[in-house]
Amino acid sequence: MRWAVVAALAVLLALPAVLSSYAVTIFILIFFYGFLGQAWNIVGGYAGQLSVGHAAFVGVGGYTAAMLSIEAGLTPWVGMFVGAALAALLGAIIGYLGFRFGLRGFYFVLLTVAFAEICRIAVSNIDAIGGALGLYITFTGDPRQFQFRDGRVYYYIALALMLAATATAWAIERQRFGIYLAAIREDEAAAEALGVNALKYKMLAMVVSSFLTGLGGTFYAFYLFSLQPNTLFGIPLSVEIIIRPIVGGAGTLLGPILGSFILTPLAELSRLYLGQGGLHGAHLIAYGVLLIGVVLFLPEGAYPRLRRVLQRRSRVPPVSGPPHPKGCPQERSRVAPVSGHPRSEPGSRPPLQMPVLVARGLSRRFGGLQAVAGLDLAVEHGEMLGLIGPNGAGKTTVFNLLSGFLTPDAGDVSFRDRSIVGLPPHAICRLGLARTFQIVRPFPRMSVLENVRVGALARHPQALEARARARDVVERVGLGAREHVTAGTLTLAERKRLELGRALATEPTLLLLDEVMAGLNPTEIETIIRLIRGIHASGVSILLIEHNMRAVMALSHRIVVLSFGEKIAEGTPADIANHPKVIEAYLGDEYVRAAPA
Amino acid sequence: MDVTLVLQGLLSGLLFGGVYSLMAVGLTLIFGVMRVVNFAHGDMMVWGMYLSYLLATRAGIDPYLSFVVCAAALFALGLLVQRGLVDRVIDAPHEMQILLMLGVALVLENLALVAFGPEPTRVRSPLGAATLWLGPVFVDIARLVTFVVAVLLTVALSLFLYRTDLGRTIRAAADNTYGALVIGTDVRRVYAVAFGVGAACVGAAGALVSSILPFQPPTGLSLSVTSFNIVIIGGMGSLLGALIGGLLVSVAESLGAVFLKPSLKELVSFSLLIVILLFRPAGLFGKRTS
Amino acid sequence: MSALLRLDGLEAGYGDLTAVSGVSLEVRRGEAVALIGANGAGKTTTLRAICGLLPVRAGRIEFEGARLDGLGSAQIVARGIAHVPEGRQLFPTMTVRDNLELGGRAADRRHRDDTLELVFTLFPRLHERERQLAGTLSGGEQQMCAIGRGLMARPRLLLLDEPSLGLAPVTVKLIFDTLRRVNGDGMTIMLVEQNVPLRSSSRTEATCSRTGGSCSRGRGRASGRTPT
Repeated sequence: MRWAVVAALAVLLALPAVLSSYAVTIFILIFFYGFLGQAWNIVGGYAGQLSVGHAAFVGVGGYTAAMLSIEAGLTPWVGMFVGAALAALLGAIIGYLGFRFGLRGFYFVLLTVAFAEICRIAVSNIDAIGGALGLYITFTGDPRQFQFRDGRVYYYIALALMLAATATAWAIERQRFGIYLAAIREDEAAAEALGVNALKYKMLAMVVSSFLTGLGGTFYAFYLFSLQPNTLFGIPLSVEIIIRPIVGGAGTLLGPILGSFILTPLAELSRLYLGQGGLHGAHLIAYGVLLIGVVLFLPEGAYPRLRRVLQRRSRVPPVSGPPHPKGCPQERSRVAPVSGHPRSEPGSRPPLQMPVLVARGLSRRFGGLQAVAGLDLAVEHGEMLGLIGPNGAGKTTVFNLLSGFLTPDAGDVSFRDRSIVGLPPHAICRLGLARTFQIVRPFPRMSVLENVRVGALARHPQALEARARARDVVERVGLGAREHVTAGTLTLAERKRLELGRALATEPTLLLLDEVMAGLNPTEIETIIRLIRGIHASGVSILLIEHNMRAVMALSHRIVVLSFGEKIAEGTPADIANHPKVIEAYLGDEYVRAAPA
Repeated sequence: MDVTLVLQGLLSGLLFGGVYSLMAVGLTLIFGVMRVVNFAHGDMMVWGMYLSYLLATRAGIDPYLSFVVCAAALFALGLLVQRGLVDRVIDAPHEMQILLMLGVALVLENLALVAFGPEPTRVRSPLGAATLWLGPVFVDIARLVTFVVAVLLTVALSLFLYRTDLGRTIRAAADNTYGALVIGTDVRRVYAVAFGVGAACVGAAGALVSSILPFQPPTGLSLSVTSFNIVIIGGMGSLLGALIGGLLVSVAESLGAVFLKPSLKELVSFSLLIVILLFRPAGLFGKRTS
Repeated sequence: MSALLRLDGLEAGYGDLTAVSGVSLEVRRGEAVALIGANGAGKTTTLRAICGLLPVRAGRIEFEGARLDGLGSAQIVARGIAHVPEGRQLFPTMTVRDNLELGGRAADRRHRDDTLELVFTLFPRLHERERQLAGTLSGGEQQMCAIGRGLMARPRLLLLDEPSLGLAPVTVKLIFDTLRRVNGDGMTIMLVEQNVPLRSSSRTEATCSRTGGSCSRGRGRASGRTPT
């Protein structure tokens, strides 16, 4: 694969020597749109936030550099970066507004479109910067003014831009930034629970993307010598920007490039042959059909499909994620503590320590329903506390309140002596409180190892080290043999173990387990019970919701019983099994005689 | 500040709002039932306009009569698009649905470009220049008729949705798709009808404005965006919201043209859109989604 | 007496997950059968497969002698099976009357008013709240509305998924008394419940469903401990 890339690069570098000047212009456009597409790819593909207003950044960048050159004589080589910075500022504003206010999917698309249109209309009406007619740059051919007589210089600049954007995407892909973006794209809530600050990373992606796109604006301005607001800020340009990475493969490194190589010649040729006959929009019909075709038949884009076909041919096992360095002996020999925060002691509970979690007067209502009412709950250090109650009693709501996914209407939660009410889930995770979800939420397109690595990154920001730690955890939960399997194809029991492992990788002090045993057969339950016991023995406190009575009685030191949002009983398993209220509301006569195993 | 101008702007805006409402009702119906955003909405409306243009120039049928044909034709188109394309991605991530409809929009807009050329067109209607004076302000007869017909169509649609079995089934599917499945509804058929009806709405709306507004293929885009504006402000999936939103946006744009430069009128609706998106994405009448 | 409903080696699931496999059971005309088991055992999955809301991967479903597996939900309702789903799944912005009438779409139009009368007799509370929006009803009233909606289809088999979920004991008693009455009038009922004490109080035949979905036993009278 690497050799193919190097060879292609060599060819591209040598091409101008043999191409006609018309062919050179086509390549310039291929590289330019490839560059814009790659820049978009960072936020649209990797972060998964569909923006259809990226033309605004091209416009801001181009207009800024053009105005600085015309009015202040500033060389575009510097103006380029000023323009890009302004574009990044706009990107930051749009990103902050969109992400902070929780706009997703269609709503976010509309926000980006609205901003782009506002820019377009505003610029069209400001005569000082050209108004509706736009700006014209006089051709001087002066390289210091970013103008060249020889088209081939533009060729190399455009190529350099495309390579720079690709290098940026490549760097992002391999680091925590990129891995976090992928997790956010797969399942933002699950990522948050693993310590990923979704807002921060999405914004970062937006800023990088808009900065790069802004640079492209300057190139555009000083290559075409004219800027019109309708062209530079308009939705047609935004469509041109996004269609190449989408057709080629959004979220992949080579997708935007492949897409540009496919679509740009197509557009130019149809413009050439059909445009003369008066069929102006023909290439756009082709765009539309291609877009439809891609969505229906190739939703991941051309490049991933191509890659799979090539891999099957050469019988290379599919590599998921950045390749790890060959022969890394340290990976295996490290026996690092996998669970439990370094400061907590494994083994028996120190009797006089403060409880690790205290909830007081916790309440939450949904419309007319009081889901949780005045709950007092405490988990002692090193304890395994069971939380039981009939369906609808409010148990998962309690978990959501404790882990930051919901804010309580009243009451307080303190974790390791510090109030955590109002903190976002990722912050709570970083403090040492991890959770699993009742309906498992693996990142379906990532492998088992990659899933767990997301958790490990919370404590080990270096991707390689996180990978090594993740390896250990994967072994621990018994998925070592399935390390590289895509999570979407795992069995339920394996997914449960993966969910557990992922949370474990964040090295929590307190682990909240939400019905981990639901849907498992008796053998699988035995395995999970052993696993939970092992985790507990290494010093992690556990709060578990379970319907499996035998397991709860066997595992828990103490049990809290919830019914209709209120605590109706609390005590040892033996206390609970004989408690009249509990029997009446929930257990039924049969369980009085079920002895703890 | 000329009060007359303001009143005039208000009146014109209100009258044009009937069409905006009809347009928005179609979009909100599609979204309410299927949770699909029809990015090709405006382009479908443009096809309604061109169709009425063809019928007027080739068959001499006035747009105020031919809107029925346009509605029927667009109904068929909507059915086709839904059954052939949208149905296949109904369970796919929303981004995929957006891109699909964007593709349809591109195809529709540029087919129109190829077929009819880029020059703006308008249909000449016998009602064209007639005006009625109400004191200091005047009313375009054409706009008045458009308003009345649009309102009648909207009322007819409401009757369909609230009084007929099929209409109630469509509302039920919008309310709770799973519940509709449970009671044995053929949900695919409901989706197809809803999309068809939504398209028929803009088909009719297009015909009704074809003699008032000059149009060209790129008009579709701005009509789509206006539709989204209205539906977001009024509340996605809310019929009442689409109605009131249509009137509101039309009046806001009309008054915007009076106070600001006419070319800035869209600035008002976009700014309003951003405010609503941030602070009340459910719109005025929409349901709060968690 | 042949079975009204028979399941034979039923297998169904969600995506890559097989939630139930090898489920076999029989329901005779006029019976009231309870399907019980721990959370996640596959009871809801079984009901959904019967109603055509989930594809059947293996096995057979026979209703009144005819194969049901492979049919869509619309056809199954037309054949005479009504489903009162978990969580009620009413149409919240539509009136109680609308909800009920929609339930009767599959049935003969001529009988619709009679059936509505019947439902209002069974649940007078619904008659009082006829014009109220279903979303504003209390939990118990919503459950009544959901059951009424199912009855409007004039089914020969009524399937209910956890009707007692989230309801106060008094309301639960009312609903179960009504169900017993309906069953007494000849309606065959199959009921999914997690709430164990309920089972013994409603005097039904019990079929146990094992966690993870292996073969369920045939009928046995009343208690058998739920295997976990």
